[in-house]
Amino acid sequence: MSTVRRRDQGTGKEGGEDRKIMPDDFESRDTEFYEGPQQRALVKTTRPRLFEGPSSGNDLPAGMLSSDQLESFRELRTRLTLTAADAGLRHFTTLVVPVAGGSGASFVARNLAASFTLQEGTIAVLVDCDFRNPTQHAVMMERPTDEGLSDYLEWPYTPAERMMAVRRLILPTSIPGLHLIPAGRCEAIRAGRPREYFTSSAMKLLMTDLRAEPCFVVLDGPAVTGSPDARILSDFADLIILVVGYARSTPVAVAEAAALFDPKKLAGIVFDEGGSDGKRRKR
Amino acid sequence: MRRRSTSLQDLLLLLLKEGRQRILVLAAIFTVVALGTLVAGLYWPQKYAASAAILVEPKSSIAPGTEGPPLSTLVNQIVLSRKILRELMTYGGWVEPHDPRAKDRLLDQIKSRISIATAGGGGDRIGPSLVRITYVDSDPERTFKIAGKLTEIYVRESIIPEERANRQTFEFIDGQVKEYAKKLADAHAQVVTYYQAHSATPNKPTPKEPPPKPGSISAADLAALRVEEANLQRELNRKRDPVAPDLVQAESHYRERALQLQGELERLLTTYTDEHPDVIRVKRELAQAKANADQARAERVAAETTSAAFEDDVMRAARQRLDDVQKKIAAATGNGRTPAPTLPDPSPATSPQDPEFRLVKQDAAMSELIRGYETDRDVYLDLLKRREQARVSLELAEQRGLRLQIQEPPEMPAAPVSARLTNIVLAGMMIAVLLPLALLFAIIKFDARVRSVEQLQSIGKLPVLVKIAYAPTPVEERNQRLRLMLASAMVAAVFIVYAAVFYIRYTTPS
Repeated sequence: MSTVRRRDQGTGKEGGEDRKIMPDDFESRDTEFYEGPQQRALVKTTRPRLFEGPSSGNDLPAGMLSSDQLESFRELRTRLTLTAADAGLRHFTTLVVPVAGGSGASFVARNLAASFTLQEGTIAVLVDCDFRNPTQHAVMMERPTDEGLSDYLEWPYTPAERMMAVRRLILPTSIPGLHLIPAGRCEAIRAGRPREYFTSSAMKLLMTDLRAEPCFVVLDGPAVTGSPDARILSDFADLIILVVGYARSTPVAVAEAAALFDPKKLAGIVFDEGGSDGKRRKR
Repeated sequence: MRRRSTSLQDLLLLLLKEGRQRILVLAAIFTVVALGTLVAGLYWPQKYAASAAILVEPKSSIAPGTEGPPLSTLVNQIVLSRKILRELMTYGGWVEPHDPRAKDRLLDQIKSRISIATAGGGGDRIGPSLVRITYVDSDPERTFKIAGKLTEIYVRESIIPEERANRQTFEFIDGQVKEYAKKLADAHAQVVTYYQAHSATPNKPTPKEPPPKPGSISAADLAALRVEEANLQRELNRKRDPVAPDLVQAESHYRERALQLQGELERLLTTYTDEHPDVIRVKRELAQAKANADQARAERVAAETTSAAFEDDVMRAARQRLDDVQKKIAAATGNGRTPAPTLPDPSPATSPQDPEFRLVKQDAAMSELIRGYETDRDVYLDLLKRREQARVSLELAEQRGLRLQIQEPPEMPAAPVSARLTNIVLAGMMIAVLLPLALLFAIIKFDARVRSVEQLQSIGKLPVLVKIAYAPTPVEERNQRLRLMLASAMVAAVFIVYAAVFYIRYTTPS
């Protein structure tokens, strides 16, 4: 968060202003924000390659969401933006976690990220951190790839290699401005060997890189119950959204899940009425 | 009010949503319950019932010797006894099992199908009571047969207990009466024989024995003669008691009863024909009462005749004896007037060989015989009285048994008393509809998981940012349509099966 705030202070443009992002902003902010030569070099070489370009004001393809749902996600985006603006944030990272599995958090994270790109000149990146039940690559990629975040975190890259890996990691989607970092193979998880993915330095560096970008980062996290990963991921987030699915959690469980997070970061609850069937809706 | 309507609306929406999600399960429950009920209704054992109502007349207050538990209780126990149940088993056509346990079970089964209910004053033996005997069975014909037999057994067993005791009493007393009649006849014969043997001798004048002269017997013999004279006179003056007052009473009772029944018969004939059961019953009772009255009269006349004959013989003998004694006294005193009693002469003027002394001895033996005869006669009369009481009790008991009036004879059951197929099916259909709804309601009511924004807001700690409405994907819509079609097909199949079953059942002649 400090990185983002520092970046905003450096540009002299205080957070909370919903200003349209222009392509020129990338270059100007980069040179001002990153002071060190190595960092500048990094940015100058990597930033334009991280994302293909901002959205020019998307319209979601017809039939993907109902009008009610679309309005709900626009409302959610606006409320989050206002909340972040109150905290002085212009671009922010949002962690979307379900209280229990099957609550529809991946659906919410995906469509929240897409809703950011509805605005012209915005870039959003969706990071699939739900290693136990990764779904985003199958929904958003026309040709799903096996490689992803878990592979990146498992491999001991050198700094130079790491940047190359990060570039390969961020994949464009069919929605302009919306990028995806898929979960990957998650071999350790599938083998039943829990691993400290999110506390690794590679993860921290990746998040530092992402937060340095003028983009909206949405982390699709695992369920709060059953694993500490959601709480670990909350360290990288500016705002946290708890997703409660229809008939998936009791009020007590919701309250207990909310108590696990920093109240200042916890933006609120999203109630997903379609989350009861436990099926990941492919939207 | 508005809030309540809102919550009701929410509840209905939740029911709809949950029902839509579980449409297949709900339809399956409906189908299983509806078809299961239909099968149960088709194979539900049909039960038929036949019942008879028996009016038990109140017990007559003059019938003695019938104290004890209420008659209905006794008869209920008798009718449900093993003996009667075995009789019913044979009559009903059941094959008697060889296994005693199976036989016991069959008897218990028959017993469980019989119910005897008493209404009215039967319990306290005051006032009429209505006994209803009901028999339930799966076979209507057998139901009718067994109910009729039960009614017959009930009437039969109602009469027997009372009658048996009275008959035993009557037979015992009758035996005693016969025994004492024989004794009495013997005593009478002895008296007559003795009298014929001894009474003529003193009166017959013999040349050897001159007529007694005045003063020829002692004062003591004279005193004895005077005592005997007084006894005989007292005996002759005694008023004759009426013979067998109980016989008279019984006869008058039967006469009154006959008159009463005649009046009842006339009353009934103004309303009913001769074929009416009440008319037939009253006629039968009237004939019985007349027969009883005639019998009582004949017995009374016979008793009076017998008693009078005995009495006349005794009185004649006593009168002759009195004449003899008075003659002896007159002869002793000389003028026929009774002298003043004098002190007995202490001199031993008499001896056993003295004819006067022998006469006194013979008189004493005669008195002894008469006393024995009188004792037997008293006992005999007392026994006659008791026998008539017993006879009246017996007649009353029999009469009471006959008064068990079958108010409502059993009829062939036309329709089963058990639940009909339509009722079972309607009940099953109601359960088939209500059970899924109840399950849905229970899920919503008792499952605490969050199903509405209001529940989340009640937590109070966090704001609910948005509610993402449910909108099915095309695949989900297709699956939902398929589920709905399948569920509809199941429900439709239930109704088709129902319609077919009812059509076959009510159009096919059984």
